[in-house]
Amino acid sequence: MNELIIKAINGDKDSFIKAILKIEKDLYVISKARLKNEDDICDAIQETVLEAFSNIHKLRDLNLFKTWIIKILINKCNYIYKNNKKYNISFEDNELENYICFDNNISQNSNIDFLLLIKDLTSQERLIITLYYYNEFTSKEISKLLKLNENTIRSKISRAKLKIKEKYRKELFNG
Amino acid sequence: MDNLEKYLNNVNKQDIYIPEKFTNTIKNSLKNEKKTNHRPISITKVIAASSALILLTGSGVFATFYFNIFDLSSFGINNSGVNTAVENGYIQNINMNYIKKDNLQYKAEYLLIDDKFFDLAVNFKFNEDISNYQGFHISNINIKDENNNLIYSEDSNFEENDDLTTSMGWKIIKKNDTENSIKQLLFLDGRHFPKSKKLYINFSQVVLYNVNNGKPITKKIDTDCNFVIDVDNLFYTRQISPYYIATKTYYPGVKISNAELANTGFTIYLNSSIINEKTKIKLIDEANNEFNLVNSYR
Repeated sequence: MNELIIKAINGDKDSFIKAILKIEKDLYVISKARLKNEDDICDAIQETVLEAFSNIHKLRDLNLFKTWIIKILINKCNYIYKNNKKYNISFEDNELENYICFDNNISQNSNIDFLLLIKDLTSQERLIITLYYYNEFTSKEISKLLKLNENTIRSKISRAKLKIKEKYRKELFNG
Repeated sequence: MDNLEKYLNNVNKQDIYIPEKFTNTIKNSLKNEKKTNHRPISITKVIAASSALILLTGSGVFATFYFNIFDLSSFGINNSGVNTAVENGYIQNINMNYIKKDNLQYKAEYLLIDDKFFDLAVNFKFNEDISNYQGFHISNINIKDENNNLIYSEDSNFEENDDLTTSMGWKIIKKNDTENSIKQLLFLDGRHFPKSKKLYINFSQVVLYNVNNGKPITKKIDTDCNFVIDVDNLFYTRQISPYYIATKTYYPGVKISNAELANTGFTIYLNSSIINEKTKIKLIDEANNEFNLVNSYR
């Protein structure tokens, strides 16, 4: 990984993309937690890749590459989330896409899907739970990423877990 | 440690499905010109089936006008419930004159409110030819009712609310070479809107811009627009009919939490850990009639 990042710092685009693809799942789950719409998610990752590559010379510690990318991604997701509802479109310029009739090619795990489990949380709760459990950041690290108090992060994690338990108590988490 | 905690602590080992589009976006990000993936309209949030609607006063001519001007499907709102309601006259043609202010003329044109949807169209006239502009935006818009219920606001706290999907669309209506106007539609979905008798609407700026020219914003008009709409009693006397769910769910993992009939459709709320946005759902009655489903998944 570090070798790819060093090549990327020297301007090698392919190495940079390879490094991003190595953390692709982390990035997808975070953006999916914050944004529901797949097109918004693709916009966020595209913006993230562009910004990160043009600023990679600013990366001081190769071990923080993933955290650095995630921080950029969260900012991009937040921007898209907040601006989405202001979006105003011309009736002439947009072709309809049908977002209801998706195909059924999603992988069907026997376990409940993590993203489905958290889907009824607020956008911020989803993001925090994802960073904490899926990406395995500590509450302190999350507080830095999201610029929130560490105690706030902890209480939001507890509250989110209570919500999940309440919703799925009977079906999944008896005991 | 309870079962949930155990599950969450192992969640990073789960095989998460990554859409091919996401991977391709990463791969192509540095190859191509910047290309937006953005779809302007968020998916709406409930499973709603258009069903026997309560028929209200007819207004066929106006409904035709409405559909000619704003085909909701043309900007991603496949809502046959709303369309059927409008066809049956569930819409208010607002009778007001243009208000002139700051090189701008504006008036509200029509309104639709029920418990699920809020739909407002405002018409703008300008003192110049605007046919070359490609973008339009109303800034700092706030809509409140007589009881100070905030229906819509661009305040950031308001936008954090996940329950509401906002869609906005606009269209230039060209009358002749020099006289044209913009129709702006605000379409809100997903909240139990109050039974308001008056709506107080204000905004502070309209922006016209060209997205293809280097500098995106080409014209801003600062203004202090305020107007009041007297809401038709069609809307504030509306009734919503809750349905008693007699049948328990037969399919494991899917529960019907409640169902209700409103003017814009019959809505069934499902709680499920197995339904996701890729799930295809059909609604069929005992006579094997399949209902037209619109919008799903939250």
